[in-house]
Amino acid sequence: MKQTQWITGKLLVLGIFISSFLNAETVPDSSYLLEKMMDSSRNLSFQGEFVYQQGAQLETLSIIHQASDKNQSEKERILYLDGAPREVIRAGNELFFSSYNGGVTKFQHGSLMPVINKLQGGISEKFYDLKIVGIDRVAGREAVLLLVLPKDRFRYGYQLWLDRQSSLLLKSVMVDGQGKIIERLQFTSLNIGSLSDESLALLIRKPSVVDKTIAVESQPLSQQDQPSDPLEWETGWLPEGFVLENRSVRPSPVSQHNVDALVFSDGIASFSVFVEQDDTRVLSQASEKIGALSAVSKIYREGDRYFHVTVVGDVPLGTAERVAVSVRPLKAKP
Amino acid sequence: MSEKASSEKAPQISGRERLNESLSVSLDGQSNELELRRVLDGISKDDELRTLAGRYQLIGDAVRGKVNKFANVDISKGVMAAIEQDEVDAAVAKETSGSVHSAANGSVANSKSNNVIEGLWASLGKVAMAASVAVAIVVGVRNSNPAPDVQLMAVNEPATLAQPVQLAQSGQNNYGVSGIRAGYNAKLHDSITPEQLAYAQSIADRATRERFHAYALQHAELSAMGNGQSILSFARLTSFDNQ
Repeated sequence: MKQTQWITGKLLVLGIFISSFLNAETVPDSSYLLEKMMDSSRNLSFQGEFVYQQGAQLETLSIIHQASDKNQSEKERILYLDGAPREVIRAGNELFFSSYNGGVTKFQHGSLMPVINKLQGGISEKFYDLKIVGIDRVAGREAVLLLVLPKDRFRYGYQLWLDRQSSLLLKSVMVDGQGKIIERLQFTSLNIGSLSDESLALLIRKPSVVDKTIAVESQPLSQQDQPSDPLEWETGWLPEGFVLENRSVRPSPVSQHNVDALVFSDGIASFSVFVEQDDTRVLSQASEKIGALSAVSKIYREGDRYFHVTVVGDVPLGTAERVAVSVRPLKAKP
Repeated sequence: MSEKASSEKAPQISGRERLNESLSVSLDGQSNELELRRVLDGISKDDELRTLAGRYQLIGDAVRGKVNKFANVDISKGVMAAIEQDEVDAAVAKETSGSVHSAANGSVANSKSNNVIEGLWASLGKVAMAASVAVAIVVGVRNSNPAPDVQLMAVNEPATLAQPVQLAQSGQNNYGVSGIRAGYNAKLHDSITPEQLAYAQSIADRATRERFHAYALQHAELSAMGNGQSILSFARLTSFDNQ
């Protein structure tokens, strides 16, 4: 008991010392840290287990990630350890989502998704206050604690614990405008570096049976020669700082039509806009918060055709609603 | 009793028949939790039933005045048509309603039991509409997103357990059970219990929820493939698909 107190005390002193040290000089610039976090999550191989909490729900998951190299593409396996078994396998341009209830869904991309607007470094700093506030320890590793506070009310705030060595995300807490915690993610164990043979074997074990294949076609924005069907869509309003990362066309998961899918990101948060033709004439509109995700559905009418507009993402519900009502067909260029 | 019947017959009857049986029982307000769950699961896999559930929602939306907010969709005609159709269906249902119980026992021809289901849905739709009016009066319009400017970071505050994350519950927050009960007490209709209205609400919610969940997976996939941030994207799906 006494010893724990002593260690806590020591950590605290150490933390204060190091944080003042960090603020004073060396300064791993906080937006650089964020960039490095994104970078490391792709370009490092690691394996670990983490807990994820939203509301009253707490779940354990495990992850194996293999960075790409000359011989192979990036691979990843996420396994849900609690409740009904579910698994995500990502390899190159394929992604499998297997669930006990929903079967195996395979997402097949024609090519790696091209990123339309690469986020420039520093973009986050315009819309978030970034502050390194200390040193902590997570999953047995030294971590830098970074505060990411939004400057407007169109996005959530975060506390991020990044591995001091690699900048990998070790722990994340997302809070809303009132400071209420929406979700928490925290690694309980993490090994960075080369993977064991056992893990590598797990990574290449793709599901043998696929119930549903979703072929995704990415469309470069620039090459539209004709008004295609379904229509092309755009957002009339976006919160400042969000840029279109990618657009693609895919078969709808809920109807016979194709869906125009657009994904937007401000470097930290992201949301997707889905538009599909509706021929059921069941015109329903709804907005819900599902854990950390906000989901909004609206109807758009073009002539005598009706379209479902659905916005899903880790942004406040108000943001999702404002985006949803602004969605409109892309006008032919003059 | 119906559950006993279904478990006895289980090996012989098709999934669809069993679903219809469960649906009629649950609309009678007699089903238990398990049975209701089966209906809800079935609805998400059955286009026809889903359309009906959706139609209920369409009517409800129109009555609540939620439509036209942004698309200026002229929906009133469609609603009137839907209501008229429902009345026709209801008339048909009346003739066959005497056989509800035998249908529930799985001994009536398929087409006939389908009619019963249609009829039940139709009358449900009307009731739901009446209830929607009542709810609109009693509950009034809730203003969404009064977002305050304060942006405080609560460092070590425990996540609040009082905050339900399930969609069904948040649906009820908007047109709460109390509102539905109030409408019931106002004697707009005599034969429908609040439980049945709650069932209807949850069935309609389920259809919407299914679409949201399907797209939540699509969104996770987009984030993972787009910028490689898959850990959080997929962790956020934990609340689905786990029942």
